[in-house]
Amino acid sequence: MYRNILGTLCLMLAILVLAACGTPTTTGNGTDAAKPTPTTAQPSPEPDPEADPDPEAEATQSDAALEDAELVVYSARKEDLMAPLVEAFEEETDIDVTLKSGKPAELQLLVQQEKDDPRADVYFTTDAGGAQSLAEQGLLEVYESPNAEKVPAEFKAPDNTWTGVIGRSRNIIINTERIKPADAPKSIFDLTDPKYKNQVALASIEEGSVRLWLAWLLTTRGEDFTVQYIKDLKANGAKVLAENSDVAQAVGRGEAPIGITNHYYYVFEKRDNSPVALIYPDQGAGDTGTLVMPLTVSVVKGTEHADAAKRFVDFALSPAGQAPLTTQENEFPLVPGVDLGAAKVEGVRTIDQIKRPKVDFKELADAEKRVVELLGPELTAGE
Amino acid sequence: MRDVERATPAFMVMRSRARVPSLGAVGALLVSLPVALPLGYLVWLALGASVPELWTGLVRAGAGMLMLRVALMATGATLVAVALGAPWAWLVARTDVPGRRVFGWLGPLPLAIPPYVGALVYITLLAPGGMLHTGLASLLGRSTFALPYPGVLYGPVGAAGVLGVFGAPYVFLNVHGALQRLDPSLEDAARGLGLGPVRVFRSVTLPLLRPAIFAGALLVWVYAWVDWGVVSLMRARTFTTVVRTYLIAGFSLSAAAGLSLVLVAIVWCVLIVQHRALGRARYTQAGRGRRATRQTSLGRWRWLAFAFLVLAGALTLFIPLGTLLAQLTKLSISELGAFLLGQRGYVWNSLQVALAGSLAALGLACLVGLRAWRRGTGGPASLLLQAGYAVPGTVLGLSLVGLTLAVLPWLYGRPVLLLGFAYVVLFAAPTLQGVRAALAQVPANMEEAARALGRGPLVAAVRVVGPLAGPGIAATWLLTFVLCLRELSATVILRPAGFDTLPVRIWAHTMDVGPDPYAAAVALLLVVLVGVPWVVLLARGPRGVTSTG
Repeated sequence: MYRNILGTLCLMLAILVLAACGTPTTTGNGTDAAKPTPTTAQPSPEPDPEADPDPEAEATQSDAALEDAELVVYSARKEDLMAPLVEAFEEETDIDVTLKSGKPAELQLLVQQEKDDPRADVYFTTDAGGAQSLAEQGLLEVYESPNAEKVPAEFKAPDNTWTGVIGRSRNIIINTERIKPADAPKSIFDLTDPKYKNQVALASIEEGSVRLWLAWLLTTRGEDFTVQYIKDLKANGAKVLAENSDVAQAVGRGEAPIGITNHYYYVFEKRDNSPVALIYPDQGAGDTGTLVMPLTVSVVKGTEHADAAKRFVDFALSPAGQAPLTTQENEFPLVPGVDLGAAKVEGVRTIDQIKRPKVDFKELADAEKRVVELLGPELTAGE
Repeated sequence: MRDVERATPAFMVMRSRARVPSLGAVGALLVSLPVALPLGYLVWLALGASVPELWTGLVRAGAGMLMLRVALMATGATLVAVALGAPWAWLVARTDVPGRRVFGWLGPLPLAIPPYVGALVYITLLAPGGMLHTGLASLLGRSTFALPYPGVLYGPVGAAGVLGVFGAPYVFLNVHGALQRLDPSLEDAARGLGLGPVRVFRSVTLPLLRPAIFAGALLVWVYAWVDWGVVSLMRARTFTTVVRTYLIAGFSLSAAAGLSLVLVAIVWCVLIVQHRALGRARYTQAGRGRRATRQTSLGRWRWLAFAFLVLAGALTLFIPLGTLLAQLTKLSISELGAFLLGQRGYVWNSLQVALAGSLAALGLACLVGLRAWRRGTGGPASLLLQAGYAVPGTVLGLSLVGLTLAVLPWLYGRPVLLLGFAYVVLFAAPTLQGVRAALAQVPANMEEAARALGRGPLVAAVRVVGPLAGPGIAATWLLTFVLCLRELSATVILRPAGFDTLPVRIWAHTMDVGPDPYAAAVALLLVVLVGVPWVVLLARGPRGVTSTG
């Protein structure tokens, strides 16, 4: 009987050895079968790491050669949200795209680890600070897309290593069953008021948006003010949860009636029929406004498919690319002339309707380190 | 071979130093190379971090208190897991509890539910404003209703609960494997001496099961230290969350590597303590374990035992699975069918990498385990092989990228080999624990006898030790297979673009918004993948209760 088990194991081992050695580089084939599902965008054969670069493609760079390229996009955005863009791009260009989705910091560290042998062609991230950090390490290609011209200057790297594609704002979300509209906070600085004791939740320092937001406070209000603000928030019973999504869900359930998070989580909660309202803080005449942060796209340095990668960047910055990127969670197109139309969720403003500070994301990215040093322990999740 | 008998009493604790030629020390270290290399790379990375950076990291985290709290949380999780898993295994293997066969099948299935999905389920059910509260509120006709436990649900207590519930199958599998092998004549003899069922259980069964319970408990205990998904959702701060903060917020792989090594040190301490606790004892018995086992008749306790199984099954399986299945109702049958059909590529990917990882880990564990068993002690190779379990998957994944690209770039981009490699590093520890627990029940002199009769070492190992340790080793393989099958954090990083496994799909459907119906459907597939090999093992292996030798 045991010999049967042993035999089975040996057989499995043999199959595996065959699978591992017989088909060394066509590993993506397995996922090809999964293509029919509408929500999965990626399954195209994985680029062969050992394949000789096609000399003709190198030489001529004709459109036909571009079409043969398989583009690997490292994306820090949820796959479902990227899929429409990828499909539209594949349709338009005949270039196959394979997405590798991950958390922004993980992908950033991965690009660092792969720097001598890059496997990504395009780096698409939700964390502009992280993109700036990669740029400063020389891991991103300089590329000024013709379509980037209309993107506001603050959302582009000064050296064109990254370009903002779409934007999101820093907001307060409230649970309307727990907080009456009249009692709702109007400023993030209201949240240290005893009136909101034990009602506030915010995400930990692991969220890029939290770091950028605090880096903005740090650079505009100074270290003492920023540290004191966070200390006061916590002294007022604010909960630090791991991620923005945890904050949004806590607000949706009413567990924490007030959350400091990004605006599109309101869209998610609204779709889930949670009783939530979106507040744009600090919008008054003398107020600072609220931060708008870009999602960025870059060409990875050392890619063999630089031309296809550049076309991807161009496409993401074209109206045809902006629409599929923004309709689902109502982020802001950064290229003018794109209207969300019927997809717009009630309560969400356009970027022009938001009072926002002018910021230098390079400066903010540099300040992030200091934010982590000063506030890392305060803003670590968990009890 | 099964009927080899010895004149000595069946149950004894042996301290023998068998002088059987075995894998030399150098060989053992070579075998542990797959784990030693990444570990060395972590050390090298950590050297890149400045000492003040690491030191302030530890001090700021309040390392001393934090470790005490995590140790308490891990112990709590372990107690829950043992309390659920061990009786479950014993009841289905040795008693006449109603539904024992079904619950025997169900035992390891909760392993298929990724713990962070389990945590999400319990939060949506139990959190203030969650399903339980809103349900109770509408039942009572009130607008809101709050049970007074949020302070308990979140934090270390809740985390311990969830980790324990989803750790129960580790204990179940280890104990179930051991029970398959347990010689019923020992219990019979004790009964014959007039001991009541409780005394028999306490003085014979339980001591014999000790290595298996310890092996399972150790896995749960260490997992609690290493886990990130559950503790972050349950809002407990652990040493791993500190490592994550350094990695994610500080972008410092060096610091994260250095702090991971502290986790490795903790695991080593625990292994040494475990070794001391179990001593060099071998719980051996003569080879008649295949006789019909007498079921313990539970009498009037039968239905109480059944209620326990239902409760344990509900906590570990029915509730989480039911919640996921409820999500599926949002899809039509044809949508669901088309979606599941579309997943077959991912199923195949998952099977390949999990088979590669589990078989390689089993092979290594058998080599090192056999050596440890013959010598009565694990030695450095055994410690080395088990270190990888303590390294958070994200840190290991990122380090392996650097390591393979520097040393063996050919490997990078070959998912079966690369992920198999990562899984060996991560899961050699549970595998070795299982193999050693299985071997602990085999008398060493049986192998000597076979050798004395002129059998070669390989034949002796395969034909003498194999059958005796077989069920335990098969269960161990299944455990490792499942661990590989559901691994997420290293896989997400190491997979080549486009090569997704089922856990990666669950994650992709869960990211940001919580599990959607598709996440539930993929989780269901994972349960099936875990269930099939287990049912096959159960059907082909000895049935502890009914088979005769």
